[in-house]
Amino acid sequence: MKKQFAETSRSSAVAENITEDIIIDILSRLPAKSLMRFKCVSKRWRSLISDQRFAKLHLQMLSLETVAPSQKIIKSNPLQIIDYEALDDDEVNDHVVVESHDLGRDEPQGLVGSCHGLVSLAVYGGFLVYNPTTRESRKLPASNLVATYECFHGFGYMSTTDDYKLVHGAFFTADDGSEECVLEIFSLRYGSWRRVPSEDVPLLDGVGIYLNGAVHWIMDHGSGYRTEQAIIPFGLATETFEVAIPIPKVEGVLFEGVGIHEGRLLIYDFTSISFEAWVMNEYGKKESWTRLFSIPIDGFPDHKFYVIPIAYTRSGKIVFQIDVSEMILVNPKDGTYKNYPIEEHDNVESAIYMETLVSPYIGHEQ
Amino acid sequence: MASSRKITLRSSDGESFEVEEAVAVESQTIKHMIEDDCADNAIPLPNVTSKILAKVIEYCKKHVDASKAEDRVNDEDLKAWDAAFIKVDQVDQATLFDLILAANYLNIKSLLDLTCQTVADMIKGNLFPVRNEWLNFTFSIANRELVLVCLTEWVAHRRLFCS
Repeated sequence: MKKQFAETSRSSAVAENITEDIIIDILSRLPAKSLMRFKCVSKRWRSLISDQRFAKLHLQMLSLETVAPSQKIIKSNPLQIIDYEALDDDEVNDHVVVESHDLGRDEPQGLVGSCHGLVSLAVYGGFLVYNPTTRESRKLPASNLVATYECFHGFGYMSTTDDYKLVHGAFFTADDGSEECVLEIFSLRYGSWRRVPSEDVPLLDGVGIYLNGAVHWIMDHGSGYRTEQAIIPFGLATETFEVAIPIPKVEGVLFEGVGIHEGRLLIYDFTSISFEAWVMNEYGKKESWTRLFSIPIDGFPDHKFYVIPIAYTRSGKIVFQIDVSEMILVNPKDGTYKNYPIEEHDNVESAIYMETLVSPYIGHEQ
Repeated sequence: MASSRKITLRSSDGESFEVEEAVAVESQTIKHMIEDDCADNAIPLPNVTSKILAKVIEYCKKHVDASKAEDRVNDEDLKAWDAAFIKVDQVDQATLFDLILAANYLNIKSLLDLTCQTVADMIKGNLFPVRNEWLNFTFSIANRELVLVCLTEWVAHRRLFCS
């Protein structure tokens, strides 16, 4: 004890020298969830951790980490957060794994995109951008575009202006019978909707996936045996659709969805016998498409509509959402799985997000 | 051809260390001093004790050697060396903070990254399986907020009750 006290009195001279820079460096390496707790340690730390410049540094540190940054699943209807790594742990029960979030009157109808820890949600009458880690939520002003069934959405980051953009597009049949597309973009920094030119927009549907400054959808050309598939990127900087990326033609497979796996674009399909997933190892290079998994699904629970891959755990297992009724954790090596019922509801959607301190109010700090 | 000039560094307690220029310039601070022609005699480092300076020199030597080797030292091997260098029983906790301050003052980015990451890992609870070591660590932290944070993290992880 004596030695420790002696060390402490010497250390108190050192105290003055532990500058703010060093504290910032150390804190930037800690998980966002921990940092949220540390806000109550002192006023100095509260203001430091709330500062968006620190949030940006913290995000950069996350992207440097060799271990995957902490990620969770967000699920709509009802809005819940699922710790999917904990799903992997045999000891843990459901209470620990699922956390309910309440956005008051703005009950989300659907998930529209996820980027840098911000999740974009469709709510009645408009959209919301939410950070489930900090619980900051920003309601966006209503767009001029009326939501129709033929909608597509995307949400992503633009590095040139350090901004996040929400893309909202819809197809209409014009009076003369032709298909028209109207495209609107909301910039978090700018704070309003803008209509952008949209000729010859490919017939897209659903939620796009953000990667490398663009949002990506899968698209089919033609039909039956002659169906050609491609990935259509929408550049957030150019605000135009860019060159389509061809998808390999695989026997018996018609890819139905896009995702991200370890920083690479992933496409997947459920055939009657297996779950197929391919990744594009080099962005844009169609020769670099490689089969990642082919998992037999004969043991999977019965499903009526869809089986969607949501996340990949550190131990290499895959989380799937089955219809609107359950999530399963599958071991790709042998196809075995554990299942977790979720509250059944119409229109349950899930997405993965990173735990960050990024604020949806960027440029409009409260 | 890199010069193999020797540079003398003097610690706060008056000890002199002779090192190759290539090793000395791992420190951006020393590098600027040399460029500004202040290095004819020994370079005084009033903020760094001999104990710490010896460790810093050991670190810089290893990293310079690693990049010079004919067949470049494997990244994995260097990482392993770094881990052993900073390991808790090699470097007691008080020394860890002195190393952070030295790396900051001498502007040696990779050493600063290594030491700050080590403290972050300690806070996350990754490095101390035994309770006593936690007490030692919190005693040596010269920052009230960091101490509070270590303790709260421990409670969060419930390690206090397990070890």
